[in-house]
Amino acid sequence: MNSNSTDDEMLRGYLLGELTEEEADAVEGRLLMEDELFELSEAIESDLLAEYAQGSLAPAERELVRQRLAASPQGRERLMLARSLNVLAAREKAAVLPFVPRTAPSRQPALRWAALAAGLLAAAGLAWFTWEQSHIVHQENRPAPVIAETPRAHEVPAPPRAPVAPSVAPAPQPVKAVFQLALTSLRGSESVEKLRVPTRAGTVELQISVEGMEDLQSFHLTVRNGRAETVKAWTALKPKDLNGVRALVVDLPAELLPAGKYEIQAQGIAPGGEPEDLSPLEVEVVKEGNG
Amino acid sequence: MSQRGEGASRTESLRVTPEAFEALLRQLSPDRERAGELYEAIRHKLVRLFEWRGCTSPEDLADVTFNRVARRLEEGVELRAPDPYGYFCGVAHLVYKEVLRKAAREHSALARGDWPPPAAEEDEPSDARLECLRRCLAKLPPDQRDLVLRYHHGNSDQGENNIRNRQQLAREAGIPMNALRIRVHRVRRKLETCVHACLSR
Repeated sequence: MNSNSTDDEMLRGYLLGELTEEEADAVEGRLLMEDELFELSEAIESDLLAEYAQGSLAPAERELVRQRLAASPQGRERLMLARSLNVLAAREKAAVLPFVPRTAPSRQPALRWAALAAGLLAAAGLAWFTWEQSHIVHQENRPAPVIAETPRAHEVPAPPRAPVAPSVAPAPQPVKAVFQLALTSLRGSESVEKLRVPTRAGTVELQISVEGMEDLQSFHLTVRNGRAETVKAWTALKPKDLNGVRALVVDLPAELLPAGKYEIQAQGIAPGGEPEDLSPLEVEVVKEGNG
Repeated sequence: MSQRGEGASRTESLRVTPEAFEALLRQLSPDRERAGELYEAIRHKLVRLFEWRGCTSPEDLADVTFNRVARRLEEGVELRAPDPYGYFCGVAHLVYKEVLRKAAREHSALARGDWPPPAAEEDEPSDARLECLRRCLAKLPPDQRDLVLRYHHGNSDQGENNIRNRQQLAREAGIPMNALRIRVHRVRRKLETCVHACLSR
């Protein structure tokens, strides 16, 4: 073991993202070439996760561990192992036993020949992230809702998902159901977003944020049903400004959206560029209420 | 046509020919079995490097890196025998920087919403998980089981106590701290595999 406390500190800084870009690049070069250093880095990572699980890290370090080391599914799995070990270790205080000489670990290469090519072809599920909780707004005599003023789900005491019966409703009028979505998918959601469409909705309006994609001037949008059939498609859509939020706004008849799963696929077009696939949104339409 | 964010890797990872992949293996080693071992080792390291950079799809990005290297090899670039890692590292940095640029473009949208999402990892381990871990611990040689539990038992203490606990363990074993860390890490790696298999049943 040639590693020392300097490596120890350097790796801790690297894992927490505290090094400059140049320093991090240099560390990574060494990590690829030096197996012992790499293994030490994995060991320090495990220690950081164990300290995180125990709550013994400073708040800033805690946040860095959460963002970097526990960001991926594999990282969260390691964190759960650390948490479990902490729990069992606390419950079952280990008997103090002398160490016995360690036998050399068997290092049978886990060749996955059958999976090599598949590994290159494999695609992890690309989940999508909705920027706002989609929610419904019934438009009767009210102006269209604006994305920027939409409260987040956790700020709303009683989410207005269920239809609100009008105080005087001599006859049900068709309403427009408005849903706000986003085409960003840096980190995916495991679940499919549900669009709760009231049965009396005549029109469904989708407001799809394209914030942060200012280089894309127009968009193609396609809504497909669970059988991959095109329900409706739009080309060369220009984003609108909804109170400072750049968004695509499209309407489609509610009758085109019976209950079921749908995919919303978008392509963005930069000036002089070819269409660029954006991460698809998967939604499930649920018909709700009598109204 | 490209795809935005880390998802870009998914589309790109599909683009490698069997010939390019074979060329990649030949460059790693003329011995196919050795080439396979090197492939696995480099891929594992690349996945971990992308993870440590906070990427959420590290396996995809490692595949993108391999594919780009494979394509360059197909174009006639040769890896220098003593240091194939340097080339992979350079390509991986480019891939990562592309991810960063794409992430920056999306950042304003993400910053406006519930981002980052609530951390699911705050959950306590389930009874099933703890039971699996108990079984896996029971399969370990006693010295390894005691080592990992004592090492983690120190986590119930704060700061100095925890450090002293580990120093004591290292003294008992007659090894430096970092060697102790690695020894514990190897045990944890076994447990990780075992628990995963147990939970999958």
